[in-house]
Amino acid sequence: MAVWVYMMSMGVLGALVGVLSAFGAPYLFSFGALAQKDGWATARAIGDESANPYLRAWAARHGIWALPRREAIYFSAEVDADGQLLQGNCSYRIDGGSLPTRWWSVAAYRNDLWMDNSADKYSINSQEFQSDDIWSASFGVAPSDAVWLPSDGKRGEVVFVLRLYDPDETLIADPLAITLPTITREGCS
Amino acid sequence: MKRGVLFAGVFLLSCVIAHLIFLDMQPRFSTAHTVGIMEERGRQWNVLSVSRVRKADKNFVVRDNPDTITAFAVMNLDEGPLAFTMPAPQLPLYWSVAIYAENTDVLHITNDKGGVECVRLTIAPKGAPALPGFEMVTAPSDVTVLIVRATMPDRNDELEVNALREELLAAKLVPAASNNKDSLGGCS
Repeated sequence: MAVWVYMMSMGVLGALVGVLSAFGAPYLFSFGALAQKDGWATARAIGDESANPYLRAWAARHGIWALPRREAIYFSAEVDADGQLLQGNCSYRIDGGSLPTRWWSVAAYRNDLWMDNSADKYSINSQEFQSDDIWSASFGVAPSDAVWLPSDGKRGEVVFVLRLYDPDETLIADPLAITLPTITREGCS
Repeated sequence: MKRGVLFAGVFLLSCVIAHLIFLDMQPRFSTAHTVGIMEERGRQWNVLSVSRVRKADKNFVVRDNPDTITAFAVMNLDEGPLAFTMPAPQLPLYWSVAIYAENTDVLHITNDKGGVECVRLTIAPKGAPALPGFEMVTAPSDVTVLIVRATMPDRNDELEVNALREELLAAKLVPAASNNKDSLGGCS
């Protein structure tokens, strides 16, 4: 009798550990879901039904109902060109070139939410530029000569998200083959 | 010694099985969690709603795209198939209609590239018939999610944004019964 009680206890304990480890895994690990280049990271698993259960769980947790890669590609940057964390109280210049996609945007987030600002502007997009062969934008509390991506000016980490809608076949095949925008710190308050 | 091995084996086996089952269910849990939050905020099932342009202090969607207007519906096919129609929006540089299963799989995407004049979809469980002239989207689960995304050139241009909203408000989601075809508006 005691043996069966022990076995059942082991079974329940094992199941509990299994559930907890499955629940925590997508929070703790990315399972190679992220590919990185020049400070930008892109999630290969988002919208990919053929991904393994770990990648699917990670994608559901971090990008639920995102468009699949054939429709849109997302990059995020947490660091500038020097590898330093992006900060809300710093100003940055964002320089880019032609991106092989029909429409693109760069949005700024604090704690994954829009950065509150008086201009009610949370992103820049390709339609704001006359030509996107070479483009430049500024991130900071005040506008400059370049297209302006407003900051709330507060201390703390910031994330930029680059969205590429209707990407070319070359971009779909290898998102890291393109030249991604460069983020250069200009100063901090 | 034998008992120790037996106990360890039971522990490991139940751990691995529970881990794999729960891992496989996680996308469904994510859907249920997100839909639950939406229900708490008053969103109704099988009702298509078009977003308004919000400011940062009113927006709590994680990594929301500030450059798109969306039409969104959480659907429950338990009570039967649904029909979705939308005249192709003319104003956005990009638009798409995406339908997701409860396990977050992408079931269907229509975008502006195919020269579509009108999107007509029947969203139904396996085995249900499609409405004549409607593309069939077979859902493996009762709970499905529909999202229309349309890009805005400038979110602060009120006239332009309102015109784009009007285009999305022409989209309809109704039960796919033949007597509902009149409810589908000018795109039936």
